[in-house]
Amino acid sequence: MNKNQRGLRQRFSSWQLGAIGCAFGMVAAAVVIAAPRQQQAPPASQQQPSEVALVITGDPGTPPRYAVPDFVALSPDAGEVAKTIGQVLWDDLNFEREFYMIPRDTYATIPAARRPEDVPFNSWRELGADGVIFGTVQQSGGKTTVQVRLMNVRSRQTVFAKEYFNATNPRAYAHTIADEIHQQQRQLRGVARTKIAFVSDRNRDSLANTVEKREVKEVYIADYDGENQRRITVSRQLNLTPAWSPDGRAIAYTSYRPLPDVVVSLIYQGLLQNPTKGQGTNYVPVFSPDGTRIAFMSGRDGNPEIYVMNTDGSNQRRLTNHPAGDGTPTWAPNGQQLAFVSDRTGTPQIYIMGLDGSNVRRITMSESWADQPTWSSAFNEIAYAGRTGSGYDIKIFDIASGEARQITFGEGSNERPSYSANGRHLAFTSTRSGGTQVFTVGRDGRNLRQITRTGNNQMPAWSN
Amino acid sequence: MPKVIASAPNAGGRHQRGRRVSPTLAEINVIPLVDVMLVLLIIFMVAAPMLQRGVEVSLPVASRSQDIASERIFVDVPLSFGKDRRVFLGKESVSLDVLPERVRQIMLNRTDKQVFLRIDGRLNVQHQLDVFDELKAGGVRDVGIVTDAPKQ
Amino acid sequence: MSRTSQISVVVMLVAALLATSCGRRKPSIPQPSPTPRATTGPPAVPDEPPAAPTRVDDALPVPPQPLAEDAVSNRSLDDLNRDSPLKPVFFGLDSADLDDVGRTTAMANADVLKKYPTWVITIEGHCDERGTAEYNLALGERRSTAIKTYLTSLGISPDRVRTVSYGKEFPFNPGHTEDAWAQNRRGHFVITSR
Repeated sequence: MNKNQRGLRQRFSSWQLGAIGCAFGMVAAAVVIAAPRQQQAPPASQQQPSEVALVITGDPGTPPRYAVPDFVALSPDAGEVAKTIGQVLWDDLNFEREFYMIPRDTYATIPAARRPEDVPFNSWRELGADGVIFGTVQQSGGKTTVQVRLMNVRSRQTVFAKEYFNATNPRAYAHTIADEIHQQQRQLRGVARTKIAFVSDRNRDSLANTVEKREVKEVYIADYDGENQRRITVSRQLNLTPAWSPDGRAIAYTSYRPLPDVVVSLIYQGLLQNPTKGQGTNYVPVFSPDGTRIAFMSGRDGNPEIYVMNTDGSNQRRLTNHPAGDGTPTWAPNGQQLAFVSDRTGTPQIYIMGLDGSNVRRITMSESWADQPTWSSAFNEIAYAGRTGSGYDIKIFDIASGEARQITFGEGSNERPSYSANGRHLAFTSTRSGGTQVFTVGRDGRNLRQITRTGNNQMPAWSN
Repeated sequence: MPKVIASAPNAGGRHQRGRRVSPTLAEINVIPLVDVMLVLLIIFMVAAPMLQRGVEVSLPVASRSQDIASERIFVDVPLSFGKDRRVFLGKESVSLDVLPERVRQIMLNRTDKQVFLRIDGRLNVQHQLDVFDELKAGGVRDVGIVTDAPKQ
Repeated sequence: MSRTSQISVVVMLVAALLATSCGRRKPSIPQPSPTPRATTGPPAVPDEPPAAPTRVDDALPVPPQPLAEDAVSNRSLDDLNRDSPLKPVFFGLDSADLDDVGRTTAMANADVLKKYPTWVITIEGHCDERGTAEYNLALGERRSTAIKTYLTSLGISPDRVRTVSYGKEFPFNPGHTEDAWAQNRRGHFVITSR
């Protein structure tokens, strides 16, 4: 046998070798193709992680599908917190509708992993997941530590890993994680950590020293999902029209003390400021996008007009000058224009003007009543309440096209829209469920959620 | 490919022997090359049929059914369903437990909430109903059963 | 072994390899793969969380200290106001103009104010519930201002009259009828000191 092989070898000519070489090449190629997929993970990206490699994608034409199982409690007393974070994170990630969130009640057959290396990727893949969250909660000595990973189910890589501590409310961990995942995976500014201010009569307190029974309204704030509602004002007076400062640390509102005036509450310091200091009656303050100025309505000159001042009350000046009433200002995102409401044609309509009061231009042409404009900081549009029948509906005016579209359709009266910072959602009030309550909705009119249920709640303002 | 690796030392040994007999020979020793290729050939020949892992479903026969026109969602239920309670979504084997969620995902962007079942005719009615239940839970409105035309 | 048979062996090999490699298009046998972290080295993101964890600040709002009371006392003269000699002035729908009846009422109120020259009053502008809240603040402001302007024209010092708009926040009649709305569209007089 050996001898025969040797002879064979010696008799091969060079072209025969070439043919065999070709055949060998094909075998080699076949072996390479048959090699396990995992070896195709580009080594370059391991040395230099690129944004592309970290983004979990779904099947073509479909959003990535995420699963958020319960977080793992690493200490016995962390169970409740772990469960809350998982649920809230699922809700937060679902809110922006950037991912298809696999319902949590379908995870029952998938074994829970206690360590990241135990995550059963095959089971998650079978459920259709593209990304899966693995998180842990450790509580020791009153200190909570939350670790979270977002893992790509196909490549089994961790694409997001972080550790968090210090929050007093477990929901804050979930909100923070959701915002950071939206930012990293979709370059989207999430709203999970934003808050909504509103006024409520829920305490049923009445004004002192009035003949008629007059119920007070106080300013409250809540997380964007309606949780964690807290009262901000304690004046036992009428408090209306809250508006957030851009940094989310102050709320300006109309406070009747007893005459209406602009009050700025630094909510995390417990300080109140009164920049207008009783110069006439002052209403509906709104912060400029850079936080340095406040526009408001005042009757100080004998007619409701729009004024602008610095937040400390200096440099107060009047922008409008018309015998009709001008009010309800809202800033353009560039801070150089204001939209406002005037009834100079006989009915309230929305107008735009420059910051010096010039170039007044009416934008609502086919409304019998338009009020409560709010200028989107992300899209070139203004939402407002327009009268439809006996009530109002939320409409969105596209500034470029001049067209308005409606996003609520006569279920109760729907008023007072307020954009979220990323412009993708609106808070508004509706009477559809009894009383007046605050709802949120996507700017496409979908994803409606009621966030208040106690008493009557009005005049929502969404923080940045 | 353990066999390929295992053959390498042998090849080296032969090579050394070859050099001992004819140390000045400049040609490549093709014998081990042919060995390797033959082994590979056998491996691929054996493996190739296994790679074609389709699902064998022997469809029930009905003469009055309609041809399926367009692109549809098919769920294959092979005879093995009776044992492992797994069905096939395309080529992918899926447990019955996760079927509703998978079907829901597929139908997310579709208007026709319709799924066609290719169910093995030898499975019993209870098995069929189990699959039906899960499809309904996944939001399927219409379930069609795929049949073979009767042999003439 | 003849030369032709050698060539045919080679040809067969090539053909067989082509056939098998073409057949391998659907690798549906699960590859018995070791855990990817073993084969692919470190994942794209370092597996361990970063050394410096993120501090999550969810500061709690602190109840504010109440502001010092406004200079104008809100002390109400309950008895006087409960049976006030000053009558409310009513307005038409979405209007801040005084009609004849309104002017007559305002004139009578002006006479009372002339009789008690020390009284200081506040005129509250109120609206019915049908308009939007913000617009009604402006409308109520215009209603109260319209009455103040008229009183001034009748010789009442503007220093004795303050105006405030409550918009639609404090309806006098909680009903939802035309009658109730008509009662709620008013300029309401409150004596704030005497």
